[in-house]
Amino acid sequence: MNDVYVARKPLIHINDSTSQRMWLVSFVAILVIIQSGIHDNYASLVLALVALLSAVLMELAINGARGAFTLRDGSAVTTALIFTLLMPNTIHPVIVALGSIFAIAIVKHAYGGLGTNWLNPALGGWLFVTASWPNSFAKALDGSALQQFYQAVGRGVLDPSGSPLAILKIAGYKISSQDSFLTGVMNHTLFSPINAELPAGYFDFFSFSGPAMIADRGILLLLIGTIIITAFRINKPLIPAVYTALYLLLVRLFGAIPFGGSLGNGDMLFGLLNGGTLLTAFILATDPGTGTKSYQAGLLTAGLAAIFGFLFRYFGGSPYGALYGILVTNTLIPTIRTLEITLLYTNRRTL
Amino acid sequence: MKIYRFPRGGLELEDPTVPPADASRIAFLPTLAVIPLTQHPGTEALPLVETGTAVQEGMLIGRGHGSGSANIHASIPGQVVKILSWKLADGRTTKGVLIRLEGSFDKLGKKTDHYNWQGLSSFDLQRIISEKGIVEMEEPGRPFVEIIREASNQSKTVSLVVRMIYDDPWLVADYVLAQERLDEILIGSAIAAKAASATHIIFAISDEEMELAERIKIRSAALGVQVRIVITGSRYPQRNRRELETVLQRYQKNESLDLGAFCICGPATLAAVFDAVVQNKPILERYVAVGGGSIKFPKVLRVRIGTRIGDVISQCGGFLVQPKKICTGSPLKGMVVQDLDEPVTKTTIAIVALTEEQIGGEVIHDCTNCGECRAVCPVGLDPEYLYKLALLGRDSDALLHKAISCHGCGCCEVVCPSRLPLSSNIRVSIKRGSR
Repeated sequence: MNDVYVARKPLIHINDSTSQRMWLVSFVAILVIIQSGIHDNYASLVLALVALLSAVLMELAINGARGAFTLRDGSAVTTALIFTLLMPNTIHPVIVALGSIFAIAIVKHAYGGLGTNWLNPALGGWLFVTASWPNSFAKALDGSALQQFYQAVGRGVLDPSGSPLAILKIAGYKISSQDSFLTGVMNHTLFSPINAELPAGYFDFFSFSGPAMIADRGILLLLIGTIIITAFRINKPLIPAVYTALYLLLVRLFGAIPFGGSLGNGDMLFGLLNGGTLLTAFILATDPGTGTKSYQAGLLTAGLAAIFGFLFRYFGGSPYGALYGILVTNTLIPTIRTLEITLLYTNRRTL
Repeated sequence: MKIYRFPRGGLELEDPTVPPADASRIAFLPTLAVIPLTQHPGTEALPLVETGTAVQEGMLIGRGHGSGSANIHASIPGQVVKILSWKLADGRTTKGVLIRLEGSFDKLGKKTDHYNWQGLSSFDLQRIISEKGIVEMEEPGRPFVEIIREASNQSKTVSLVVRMIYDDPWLVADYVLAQERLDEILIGSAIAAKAASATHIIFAISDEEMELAERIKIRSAALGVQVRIVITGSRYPQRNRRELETVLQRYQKNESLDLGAFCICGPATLAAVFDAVVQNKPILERYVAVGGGSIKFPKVLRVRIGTRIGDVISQCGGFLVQPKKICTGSPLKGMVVQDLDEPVTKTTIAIVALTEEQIGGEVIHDCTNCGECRAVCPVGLDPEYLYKLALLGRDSDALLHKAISCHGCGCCEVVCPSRLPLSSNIRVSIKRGSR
């Protein structure tokens, strides 16, 4: 095909390779899974192992069929680990295995492999699991803070301040003694001098021990992971910044209204620390494979994902609205990319 | 002072393995010199010697013929041992003259000539520059006379532009040359300006070299050479013709000047013009930066043309660690050395022995659409899309999406985390599409 010869140059590369990036994201995911595993007798680690084995075996099988070895790019491992983060820690491992296989075989490879899929494979696997085994998925989240909260709201429990923590307390949610202690210390040292008070319950979210999505059970290490990812320039930092800022602004402005509160009283911390918000902002929204071509359009899409995520969670009653928000924007990406090519990268004289 | 920069993309490049920019050292004379008859983009020079011929230092041994071809001279005195043939990194085959060092030098160690050039006409100067085989002293090594003629044909007004923009750390040899031979460069610029009938001499200097700019001001005033100094950014590829012209056009607009066509050259070329016209000397040696992570003692050397790369490296202490690749020229735009017996040519600005770590891995992964190539492209192209079109052979589509604007700076390829040969494939696509 190619009878034209040009010397290959340049000869150096100055950025981390794709595989190095994948391994770093995988490392962050493992940190979160370990934090979750500490509180559930390593059940989270078992799920991760199952997802990992399923994904790797599927990737190898497809590699064998296609005659190309792509396992070393690390994307299959990363997909399996991010998929694990999206699973409840008490879900049946067989479901995890099937979801992981679906993510690799259908969402990733049916569209041509790494970089050509229109949907984030891990998110595709999550969608497959929630749609195929809705009862098992919901059962696995029985007793989770988010489920208790939405069940309470569904029963008509509201709070005049619109505080989710207050509603949770009414619903019987127990706050740990460590949380009470830390909240007391913070209030005594930081907040009382400025006539403010931090309600009890937030510290538990940093190291949540009840049933929940694994990403929500390892928030402390996920926060550290977001710093690592940003420091190593794995993502474009403005995308999570825009996502988080807009999401929190919307929560602050309108987040109390659905729970009996008034305009401008929404609980930003509660919105940030569960429902997969951090994972969405720093990993799913910044996935380059399902991103736009230009940074500007990327920021716009991040903003849209934040708006959709907020609407689905606060006005649609879906605890994991943030994930649905990304799903919606993922569907828009092919159209956005086509538009970008036409508007930004085509010779205007030919338009 | 206003700093002129190109508007988008580009890279800030740093490399701790470049040799120190303090001074040059004279390299040993080669006992065997391999003088390639192709040191320019055009056809191979016609050999004027055969095995057994005795040659003098500076003697014409290859006559350039046709567009892009230049004369070739012997860099050392001696006897032609053999006429060799080998394949260059760009795919062309070339002959070379292997000379064994013998006899006495006509130039080295002798009193230098000092010819008066002021009385010579533009035509005479061009003839001398052409006879002495002066080419732009970096890849691809276009004959300087052709550069002059091209500018003169474009416009009645011509400006000679001397690019002293160090956007790539591997231009350190050029920098040392500028420090050590500034007067010759300034006189060379006056000669070149006269040859090109240029109305302006512009020194484009990167903003990190303000001291050099100050020296140029002082020395040009002392030598009576009227120059204009334009301070540019130092982001790669500011030195590229397109980015340089972009800033020069902004400069002429700001200063309400008519600079006309640009005759662009580097300081090494002007030093060679000085040697040719004032000292009656062809290109016998050049400044070469020898470094990279594998080299024991990186240095800037003054190396005779035809010296084998292996000999040059051994003068820098040899290898510290096994190099993964050796290239001539900057790692961004240079060519891979296939054999350590390959010679230093007129366009060898550097010899870089790269470690595996410097190369950054060569395993190609699938494109993840990360967009880093788009972010650094100074032309505003979508290298990822053009690369995919090139792979599919859709060359006319690639041209529709502005592929022709790509000037091969390589920024996209340098930053690609998937190590895709973006720039290389786009250049293939352009070549195929323009057939």
